[in-house]
Amino acid sequence: MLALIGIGLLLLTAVLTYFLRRWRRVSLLLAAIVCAALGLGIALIPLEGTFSFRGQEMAFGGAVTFLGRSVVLGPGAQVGLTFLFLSGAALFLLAWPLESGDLYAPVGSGVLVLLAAALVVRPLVYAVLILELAVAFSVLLLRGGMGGARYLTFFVLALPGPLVAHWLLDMYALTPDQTGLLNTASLLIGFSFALMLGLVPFHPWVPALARRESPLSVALIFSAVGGTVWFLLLDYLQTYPWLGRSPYWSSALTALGVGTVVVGGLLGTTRRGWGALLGYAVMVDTGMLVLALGRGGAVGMELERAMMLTRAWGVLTMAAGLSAVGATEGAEHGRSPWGAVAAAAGLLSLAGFPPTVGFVSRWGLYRLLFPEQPLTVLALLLASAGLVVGLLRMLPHILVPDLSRPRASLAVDLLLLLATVGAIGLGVFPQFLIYR
Amino acid sequence: MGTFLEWVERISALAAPPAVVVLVVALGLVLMTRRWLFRLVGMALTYFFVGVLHTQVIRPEVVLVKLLIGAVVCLALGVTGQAAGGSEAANVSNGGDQEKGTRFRWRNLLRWREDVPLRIGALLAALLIAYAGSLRFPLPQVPFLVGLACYLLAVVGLFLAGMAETPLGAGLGLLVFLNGFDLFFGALEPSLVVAGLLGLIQFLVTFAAAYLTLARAE
Repeated sequence: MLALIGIGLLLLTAVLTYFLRRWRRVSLLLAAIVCAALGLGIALIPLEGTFSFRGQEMAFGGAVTFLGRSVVLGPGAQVGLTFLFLSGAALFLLAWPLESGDLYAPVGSGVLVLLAAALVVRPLVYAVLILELAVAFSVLLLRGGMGGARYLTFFVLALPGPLVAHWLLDMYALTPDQTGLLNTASLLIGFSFALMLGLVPFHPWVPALARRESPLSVALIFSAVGGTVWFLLLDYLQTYPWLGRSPYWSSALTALGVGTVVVGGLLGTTRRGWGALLGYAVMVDTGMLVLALGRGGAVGMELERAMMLTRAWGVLTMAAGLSAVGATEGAEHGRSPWGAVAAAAGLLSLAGFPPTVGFVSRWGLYRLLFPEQPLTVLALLLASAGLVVGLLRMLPHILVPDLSRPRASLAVDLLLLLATVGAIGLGVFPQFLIYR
Repeated sequence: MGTFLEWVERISALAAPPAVVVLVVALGLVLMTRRWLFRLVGMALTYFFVGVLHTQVIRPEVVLVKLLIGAVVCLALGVTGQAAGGSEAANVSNGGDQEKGTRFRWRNLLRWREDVPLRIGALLAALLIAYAGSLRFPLPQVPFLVGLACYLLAVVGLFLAGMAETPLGAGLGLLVFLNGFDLFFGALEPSLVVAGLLGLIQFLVTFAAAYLTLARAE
C-alpha cells in the first residue's frame, strides 16, 4: 500500500510541477521535497506495520491488487524505491540552480513514477513494459539528436527478450522436461539486460548519450533508469534463481564485466569531451557492477548495492560539476570555481580512486577477486587509471575560467561543495554506507 | 462496426500471401527512399497489412485498436516529417538535392541517391534472412507467412534503425521492429493489457522520435 501511496503522490507532484513550470525553481524544489519525503518515508516505515483506512486494516508492505495487477513492496523493492526517490530528490535539488529546462521537474517526476511502478508491479513482464514507457518518456529530458535516438534504440531492442522469456517460462511450467526452454529464456534475459546496461559490445549509446546532452538529464538516466534496470535484474535473479545457477553464469559475467571495464577505460583516455568521459566512467562502473554480480552470494550482493549507491553519488557530483563549468553545450548559468572540483571528484569516484566514495566498494571487489584472479584485478586497476588519464587530459579546459560568464550564485557553490565533500567524506568514513 | 470487422476478416482469409508481398513493397519504400511522403505511405501500408496479418492470430476487435494506433502513429509521423522539412536528407550535411524549404519536383524522383544500392542490398539481405529464419527457426504459435512477416519486419526495422542518420529515421526503424514483435507476441500473449502497453510504447516511441527530431531541427 505504501508503494501505491508514494507513486500516487509523485504522480500528483508531476502534474502540479507541470502547471508550475514557469516558476522553474519552485517546481524543482517541490519535486525535491516530495521525493526526499517519499524516500525517507519508504526507508523508515516498517513494512510489517499496519494502518486503518475506512475501517479496514491495511499493511504498509505486502501485496496489493491495483487495476488487476499485483503491486508488491518487499525488502528488495523497498531498497529500490528508496534509492530511486532519494536520487530523484538529489537531482531535483541540483537542478534547482543548475538546470535551465522548464520541464525537468514534471518530466523527471513522471519518469520516476514509471520507474517506481516498474519496481513494484508483478509479474515482471509488466515491469519491463513499464520500464520501456519510462525510457521513452525520459527522452523528453534530452535536447535532441542521435544520442537520445541510440539510447531509445537499445532499450527498445531489449524489449522482446524478457517478454518472450516470460512465455517460455510458462511453457516450461507445463513441460518441465524441456530444459532447453530454460536455456533459451536465460539467453534472452541476459541479452536484453546486456543491451540495457550498455555492456560491451552494446555500449555505444552510453557515451553517445552523455556527449551532447545536459549533464543532469544524463545523470537522471544513468542513475535512476540505470538503477532501476539493476534492481529489475536483481528481481529476476530472485524470482528465477536458476538463472544464477547456470555453469556459464559466473564466467559470462566476468567476461562481459572485464570487457566493459577495459573498453571503457581505454576509451576514457581519449579526448572526446567531458560528456563522453562521463559515459566512459559509467561504462567502467557498470563493468565493475557486473563483476560483483558474477561473484554472487551475500558479499557480492552487499557489494552490488554499495556500488550502486556510490555510482549514483559519483554520477550526480560529476554531472553537477559539468553543469556548473558549462563543459557541455547549453550551459546558461554562471561560472563557479567549485564546478571543476566537483567534476573531478565525481570522475575520481567513478574511477574508484582513493579516498573517494567509489573506492570503498571498489576496494571490496578487488579484495574479493584478488585471491583467485590477480590478473583480472590488474586489468581493472589499469582500466580505472585510464579514466584518470582522461581526466588529466581534460582538466586544463575547465580550470581556465570563462570570465565572460557571471559568477554563479552562492547556492550553486554550496551544492557543489556539499556534493564534493560527500564524495570524499563518505570515502573516508564508509561505515555510513556499507558497514551498518 | 460489425461490417468493418467482417470486412477485415474476409481480407485476412484471402489476403495473407498478397499481404506479405505488399509488406515487402511497403518496407522497401520505407527503407530505400528518403522522401518523407513515400516513407509515410510505406509506414501506413505496413501498419495496415500487419493489421491484416494480425487477424490470423488475434481477435479482430483488438486488430481494430492496433489499426487505430497505427493511424495515430502515422499521423504523428506525417506532422513531424512535414515540420522537420519534408525529408530526412534535409538534415544531413551530405544529403541529397532536396534542401529544407525547396519545392517538390517530379523529375527529382528519377534521381537515385548514392546509397540506394546499399539499401537495395539491405532489403534483399532482410528477405533472405527472414526466409531462412522462418524455415530454420519457425516462430511458435504463428502460421508460416505470419512468421515470415515477423522476421522481415524485425530485420528491416533493425537495418532502418542502424542505417538512420536522424532520430526520425531511427524512430521509423524502431516502429517497424516493434510491429514485427507485436505481430509475433500477440499470438503468444493474448492479454489485452499487454497489447495495450505495447501500443502505448509505440505511441511514446513515436513521440520521442518526433521530439528528438524537432528539438534537433530547432
